Amino acid sequence: MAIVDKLTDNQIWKSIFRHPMPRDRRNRVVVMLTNFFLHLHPVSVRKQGIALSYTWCMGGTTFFLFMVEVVTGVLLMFYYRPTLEHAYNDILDLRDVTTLGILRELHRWGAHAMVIAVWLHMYRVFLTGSYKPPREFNWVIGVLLLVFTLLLSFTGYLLPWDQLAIWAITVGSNMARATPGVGVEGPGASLLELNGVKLITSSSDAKFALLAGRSVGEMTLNRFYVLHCVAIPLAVSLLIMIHFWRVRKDGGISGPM
Amino acid sequence: MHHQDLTTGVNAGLAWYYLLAAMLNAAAACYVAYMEMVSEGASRAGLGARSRRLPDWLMITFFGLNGLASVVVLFRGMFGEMGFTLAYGLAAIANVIVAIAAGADAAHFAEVMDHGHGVGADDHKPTLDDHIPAVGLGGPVNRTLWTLIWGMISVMFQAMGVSYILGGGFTMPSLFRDAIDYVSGPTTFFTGATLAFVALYAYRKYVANALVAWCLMNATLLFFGLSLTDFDFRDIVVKPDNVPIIGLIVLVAFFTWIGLRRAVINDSRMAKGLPNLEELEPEKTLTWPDLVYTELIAMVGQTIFLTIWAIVLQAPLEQPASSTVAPNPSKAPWYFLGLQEMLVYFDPWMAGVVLPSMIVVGLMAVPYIDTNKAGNGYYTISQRKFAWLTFQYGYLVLWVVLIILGTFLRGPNWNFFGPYEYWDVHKLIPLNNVNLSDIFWVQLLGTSRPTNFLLRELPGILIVLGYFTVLPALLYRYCFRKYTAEAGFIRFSVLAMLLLFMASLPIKMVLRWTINLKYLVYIPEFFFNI
Repeated sequence: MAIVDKLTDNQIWKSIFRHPMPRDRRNRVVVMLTNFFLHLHPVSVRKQGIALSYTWCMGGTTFFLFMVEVVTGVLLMFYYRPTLEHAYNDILDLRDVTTLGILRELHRWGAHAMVIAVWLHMYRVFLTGSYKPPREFNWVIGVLLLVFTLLLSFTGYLLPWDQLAIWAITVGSNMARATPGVGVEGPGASLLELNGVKLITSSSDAKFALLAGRSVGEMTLNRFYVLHCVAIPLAVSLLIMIHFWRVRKDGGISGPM
Repeated sequence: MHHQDLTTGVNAGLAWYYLLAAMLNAAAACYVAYMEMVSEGASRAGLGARSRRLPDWLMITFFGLNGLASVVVLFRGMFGEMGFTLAYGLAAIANVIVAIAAGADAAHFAEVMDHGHGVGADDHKPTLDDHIPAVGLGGPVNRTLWTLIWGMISVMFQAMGVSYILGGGFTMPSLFRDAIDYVSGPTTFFTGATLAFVALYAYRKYVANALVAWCLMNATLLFFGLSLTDFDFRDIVVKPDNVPIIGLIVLVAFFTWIGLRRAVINDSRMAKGLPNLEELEPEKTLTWPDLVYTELIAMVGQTIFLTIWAIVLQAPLEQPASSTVAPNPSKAPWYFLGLQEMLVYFDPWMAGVVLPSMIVVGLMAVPYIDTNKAGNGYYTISQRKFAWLTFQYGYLVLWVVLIILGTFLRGPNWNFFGPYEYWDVHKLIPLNNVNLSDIFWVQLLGTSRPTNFLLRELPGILIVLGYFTVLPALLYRYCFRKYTAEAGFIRFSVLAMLLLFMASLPIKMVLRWTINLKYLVYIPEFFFNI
């Protein structure tokens, strides 16, 4: 213990960690209250509430995978340029040349795993009826997070700019063309006319807004890149904060109410 | 077109696959032979001490041999071509030793019990050696018998694995494959999934039993292993982007089972007036270390898992994007393939916009329309049957099963292909679907279709209007009167609309399969087809 004591018994350490090692009950409480990362948790939790066969650990897994995606994503942004000229070749380089090109694998498989984890989290919350009062609104936030997770994955799917990417996005975004009212092939769109001029055309409908063009092109790549790297992660971060905050405020982690 | 079903690489892969299957069953044999099988919640007070222990020598042998195998793999260069085979042999011997030792020890324990401590003996009092299953999961099992069964299955899987590593593996009989391909189709697949779901609900007490679940898992392992010997099956399943779906299937099956099991136990406990599992330990525990350490271990474990996955499986990268050469089939990302499958039955505005929006809105509405106060924070089925059935059918059958269908069984031109069928671009499926207006005016009345589209589509429009007005009234009258009285008319209306939208997919499927119906309402003038 002498080395540990030397290491911890000085001004620098004490300025960072404002409590002794959490070895006794008092300091195990204090560590939860004074550490920024730990204060997300309450000081104590229901014993059965953290049993693995009860919680499945999938909400935490989703959050962990989100952080993996953020870290690997930021690193990938150093290597990737979202232009028709470079996108595909940058991915090729990541595969064949770049040191730690495995980042892309981590990012892609992490994304798939996150989609699965978020579904399983929702599944568990439903099966334990944990959306019931007072947690109704947090379930709604959770549904939004689910939708945003799928959108994150969807927008990221285009970035490698290979055949798999553009045709998956083409198939997916073709749906927007059929949006009722605002898609050029959607029911009701042809009724929107002003003095005989159609308001909804293939260059002004929902699909155009999504793709920034009539078909998947360079502007789509740019649009999806910004959505994928900035807009949606910001929205997700905000929602995650609310989600966690409400877990604490709405009666703590799941358990019989 | 015929490809070789078994190559050297496939043989090696299958050998390791069966090694893992054998290891799982050896572990199961060990569990039944040595471990404490007194269920959660059973009072340990008054139970005699346990005498069964996992022998140290067995663990040392098992991990020693597997460690040795890992070393051989790392330094395989020194062993020439025999490196992997040698490593495999060591790991296989470890499995077999564990399986046989567990079986022998279980027999020995039984003998000890029979001579003075056994069930038949007068002085037998329950001990921690006995199997005391959770409430609601049936009676105790014969530990010796089941140790021997899992041990035997382990040895059998291991023998299969050895035969593959030696290159003399066998394939799934083509007669069997052809039979499965022959009966496979969207109809049989979806109907089968629905029936399986009903069976899961009806026989949940049996499925919740670990023995039954383990038998099902072994059957699945064998079936999947044999299927992997087929070239066309393998070709689809091991596509890098399809691998997550295999993971999804395994995880969803596992967690469905866990949830089902806990619900069955809770329901039985509550029926007997016992507290449910979640209320057994109401006391709190400190977050540090109990939760923080769990999270740390989970993060480390997931990091390792993700890293290995990333090293072993390269992320897919196809040819550079070309807007002129469309791949056939063109598929959306896998998590949207359930929606893409709906395109078979609905136009894009329904399958791609309205129904997905309904899913999102419906999910958000769940806490507000489910006014049942029971089942808050614990697993139960009997206290919330309607919610359970609706959600599970939507999630398991209409979402996960459709994703599986869209990923593995839809090939070029979105035609259906059996699991062992070659994805032939030229496969022709006759499309003889007709619209309701044709059925009504031409086939039924024997006249030509009216030119006015409103008149022409009147039968379909009436049916759709009736679906959304008459059915809610009937639902109210016969099913939801009590619910509406409690929850109010608005909640009932939302619930009824969501239910009808959800039911529209299976209904449209059945109409397609039975009377080849394409559209109920067909107004291409306004892109309004239902």
